[in-house]
Amino acid sequence: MTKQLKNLHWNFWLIGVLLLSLFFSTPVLTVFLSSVFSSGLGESGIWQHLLDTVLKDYIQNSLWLMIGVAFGSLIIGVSTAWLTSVCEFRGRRIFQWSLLLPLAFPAYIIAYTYTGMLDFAGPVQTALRDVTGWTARDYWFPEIRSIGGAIIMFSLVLYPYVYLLARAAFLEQSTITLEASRSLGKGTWYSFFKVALPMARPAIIAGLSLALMETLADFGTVEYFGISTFTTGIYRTWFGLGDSGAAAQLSSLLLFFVLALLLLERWSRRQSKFYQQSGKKMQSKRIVLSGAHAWAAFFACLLPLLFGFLLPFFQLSIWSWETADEMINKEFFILAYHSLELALITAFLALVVALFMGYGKRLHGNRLMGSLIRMTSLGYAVPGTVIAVGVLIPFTWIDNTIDSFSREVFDYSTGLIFSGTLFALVFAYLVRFLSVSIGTVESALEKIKPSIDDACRSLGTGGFKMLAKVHLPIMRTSLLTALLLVFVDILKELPATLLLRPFNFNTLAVRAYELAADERLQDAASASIMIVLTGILPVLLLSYTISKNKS
Amino acid sequence: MNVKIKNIEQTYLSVNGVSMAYADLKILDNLSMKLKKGEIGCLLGSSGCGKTTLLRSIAGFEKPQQGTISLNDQTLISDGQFIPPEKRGIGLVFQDFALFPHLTIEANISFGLSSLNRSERKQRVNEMLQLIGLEETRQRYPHQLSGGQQQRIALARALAPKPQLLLLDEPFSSLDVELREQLAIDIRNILKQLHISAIMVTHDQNEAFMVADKIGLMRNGQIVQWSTPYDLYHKPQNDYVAGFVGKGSIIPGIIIDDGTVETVLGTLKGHFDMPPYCKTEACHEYMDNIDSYDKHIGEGIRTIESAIDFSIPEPCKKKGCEVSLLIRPDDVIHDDDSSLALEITSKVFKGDEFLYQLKIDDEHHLLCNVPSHHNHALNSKLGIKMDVEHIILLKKQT
Repeated sequence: MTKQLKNLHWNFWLIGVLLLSLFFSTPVLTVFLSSVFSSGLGESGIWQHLLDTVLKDYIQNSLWLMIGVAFGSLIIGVSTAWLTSVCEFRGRRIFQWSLLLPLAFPAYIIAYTYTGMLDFAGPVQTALRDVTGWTARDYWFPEIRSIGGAIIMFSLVLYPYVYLLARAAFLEQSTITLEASRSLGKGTWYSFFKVALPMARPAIIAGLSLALMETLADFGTVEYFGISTFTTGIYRTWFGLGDSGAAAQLSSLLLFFVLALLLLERWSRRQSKFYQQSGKKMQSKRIVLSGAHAWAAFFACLLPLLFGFLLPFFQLSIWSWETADEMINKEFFILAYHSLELALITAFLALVVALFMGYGKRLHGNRLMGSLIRMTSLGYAVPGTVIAVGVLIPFTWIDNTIDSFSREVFDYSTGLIFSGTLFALVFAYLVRFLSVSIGTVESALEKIKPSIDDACRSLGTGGFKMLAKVHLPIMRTSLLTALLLVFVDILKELPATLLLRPFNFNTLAVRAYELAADERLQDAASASIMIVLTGILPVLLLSYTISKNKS
Repeated sequence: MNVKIKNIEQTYLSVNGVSMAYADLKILDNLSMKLKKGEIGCLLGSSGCGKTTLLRSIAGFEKPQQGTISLNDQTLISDGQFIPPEKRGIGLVFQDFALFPHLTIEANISFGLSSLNRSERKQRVNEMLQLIGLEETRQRYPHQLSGGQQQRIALARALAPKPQLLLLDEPFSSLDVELREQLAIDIRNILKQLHISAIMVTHDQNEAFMVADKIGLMRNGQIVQWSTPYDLYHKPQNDYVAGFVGKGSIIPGIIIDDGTVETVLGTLKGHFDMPPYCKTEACHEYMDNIDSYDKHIGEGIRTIESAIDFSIPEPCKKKGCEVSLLIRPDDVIHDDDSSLALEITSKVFKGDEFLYQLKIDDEHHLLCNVPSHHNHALNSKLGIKMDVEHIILLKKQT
């Protein structure tokens, strides 16, 4: 190891990548370190208190949620993926891309929408009473704000992860494999369960672990539904009890869950490589469904789309229309402008950092640099709440140190330079979403043949000039994609924004959260629908890529 | 015995004792070569022989661990000295052309011309487009052109900055077979017209024969033989070269006299160099003398090779030395009237001719190219006569 380090070519790029990745890893490192140290010190009894009282609930609830969401998103995701990739029925072409639309809904927004729809004064129960003539005491109505309700909400918006990867896996399976099974006298159902499904399993598990990571990272839904999980626990420990050490300890416990999912995902992706086949792809001969089968397939695809997107979207549109006079005002536009501006600037910063790392790897790639970049890309798995804790601890310490130093020497209070400003928020966004832009930039760079670099250098142009004259123009579409993806992710982000925003600074997501918390669900619609509408953009982009790949 | 070739012209590109290894794997093994100005060299060899690595070392994309490379009296790499590719002034044509997809043809060709002003640049692009005969493509993008056109644009782009040396890495391999021949001839003509020194890498001997002035046959990171295409084919230095270049069959023979070998196909007469293992002790002494004599005159024109060509002196003949002969298909001529007729054991139709395999005895076969209207049945006898100009002797295989 030391010998390898000595042989490394320490150049500008490697040092730059090293510093950047260390910088962006500080929140996670902080969480681990401070949880280790504060448990040793035992500065307050809070951790012990948590351990005795709520920790069991946190773990139990998180596990139930994960089990439920796994079940729900697997059933919806795999069945729709199979139907749209292998069968042929009326509406398949539209379903194959529109089934992704629920991705545009952040879980907390769909939760607000359904709560508004299903509560006592909502349209569903009102209609029920109007039709039957019952009063409130005459009937029982299921409570959406429960763990079961949360499972349904998560499943409705997270199944597209499973759908996307399962569909790709089914399409990659050779027709011949399935035909071989059927030629050996096995029926379609048998072939599905014994051949197609096992071959697609790694991809399905990878998609599922992504969905579960999102479930664990969620704050808005569980908070609103009153379910105690890690994320709400961290929030309460930090704000309610003011104990950063205990919050860090909860965070690192949550990270262990995440790590398990992360390893599961990585492992599945590696496995799925073995299952990829060459040869003729599925597409050509689909199983044509007719009659009752075709209708069954149609509804199997329609229901998730209806409940995961069409219905809540329709409801949000109505509410924002009804509340427009009151809610769409100057204040709203300022709020929207703030959100969009912040998201755009941060997305641009993420792109610049990703370009530096990706290009450094292309020019002077070595194993150390590769691992550093991969380490930086792990941020997508870390829940926003955890990142917020990991950002606040060091920044508050730095701020207080500077402040006390300044007060001693200059008799002037500097206030909170980092933790109290947008700096902390932008930094947290970057930690969480850098992986999105790094991934896009890396795959775009990989598509440019190395001989292009050689050609450029042999014609006398290298380094940054080569990046500007050759790589950037070739990659411009991918760069815009990276910008868009990060932009939308930031716009949707709730927990880190909530914890780190400067005093009096609001975003669309926080506004929706605040109004919902005040039980003003209809009033929250205009902020929510803005988020969903921008969220549709990357989904459409993804759908476009899917349909383009096919032709 | 070392054959010394005296330099009459100045060496332009010189590669000296270059070695390179990844971990324990030797890619280039103490390799040396020289190229004169205006010459087109070709590195020929099967995949993994190190030819591309050598090319990339000359270009500056690989850094050999040992050895020196210099071009036109400028050191490109030696101990502690390394000129990066963008400063070398060496043009490259890539296997996949590597045209910049986001730039027009005009912008592609003028990419390396940043030192010129606008009008000079424009003029240079015009010259280049004229040279390759693609003036009409100026405003198009690479993906709108055919493979053959892209190939010529890649050549024009590499030649536009007037490089000191042009390197071509398998330039025809991504083109249709029908296109390759014409482009190979075109490229040779263009390079000769501009008097450009060039090195091409290929695994295809036909391409090498068409384009090169000198071919270096590579194996295991070394150049086995560096000579003209004609000599590579007709005077292979060992059985690897003989086997790699062209087709042929090997038959046993016994040297009777200078220029005469007795074989199963009868007595063959032709030129050959007496192999070292067929020379007597006295001969080696003589050769050493002639070598020092040669040095003594110091005119540097007469070479040992030419000395052998004149005549083999008496002490050098060791009669009855057993050898193997390489018989090329073109050494065997079809003749229905010939008394020598062999059985056809297999035949391959190649359009303009048949390649027949003829049976000499159970162990030995002969290959023969015959114009394709001579369609003879399998297992029938084919009349042949031998027309061997260069007898290729290989060490008797045991």
